Amino acid sequence: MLTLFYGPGACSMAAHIVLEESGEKYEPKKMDLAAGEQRTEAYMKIHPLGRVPALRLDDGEPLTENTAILPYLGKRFDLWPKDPLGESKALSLIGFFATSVHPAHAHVGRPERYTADQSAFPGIKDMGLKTFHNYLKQIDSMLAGREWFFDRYSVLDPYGFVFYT
Amino acid sequence: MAELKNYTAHKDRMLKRAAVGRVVADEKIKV
Repeated sequence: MLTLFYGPGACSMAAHIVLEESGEKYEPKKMDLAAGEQRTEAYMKIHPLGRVPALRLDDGEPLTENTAILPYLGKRFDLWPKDPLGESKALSLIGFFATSVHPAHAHVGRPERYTADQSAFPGIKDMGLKTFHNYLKQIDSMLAGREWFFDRYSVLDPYGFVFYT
Repeated sequence: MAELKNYTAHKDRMLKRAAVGRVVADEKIKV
C-alpha cells in the first residue's frame, strides 16, 4: 500500500488529491510542518531534504519530489498522457510548476531560504510576488478555451490547482 | 486572482470534484 507524507497547504496537496481520487486504499501521513516533524531523524530517512511530499511505495522504497511522484501516480491511475509528445509536454509543465512557479511562491512565503539578512526580506518578497503573479498569468493563458491542462483530466490539474490556493 | 478568469474557472471545476473537497477540508485550505 502507498503511504503519502504531506503537509497541509503545501504542494504535497497535488499528490494528496490524486491519491484521494484514485479509489485505491492508501495511508495518509499528515506532517506537522510547523513543529518541524519533517526534520525528524525518522522522516529524514524517507526524504533527506526534510520536505513534503514523499511517497512510500508498496515495497517500502521512498519516492520524493512532485516531479517524480506525480508522473508515477499518473501512470498508476491512468491520469498521464500515453503518447511520447503528450508525456514530454506533461513533464515540461511539471518542470515549470516545480522549478519556476513554486520557487517564486517560496520567495514570498519563505524569504529566509534565500538570505539570512532580514532587512532584505521585503525586497525578496516583493520581487517574488511580482514574479509569481506573472507566472499565474501564464497559467491562465494555458487554460484559455480548455477545461483541463491537457485533453482530459490529469495529475497536472491538481498540481496547477495548488498555486491558486 | 479573480482577474485570472481561465484559472479561476479551472479552480472552480476542481472544487466540484468530491475528492478535492475532501482534501481541501482535511488540509483546512481556504479557497
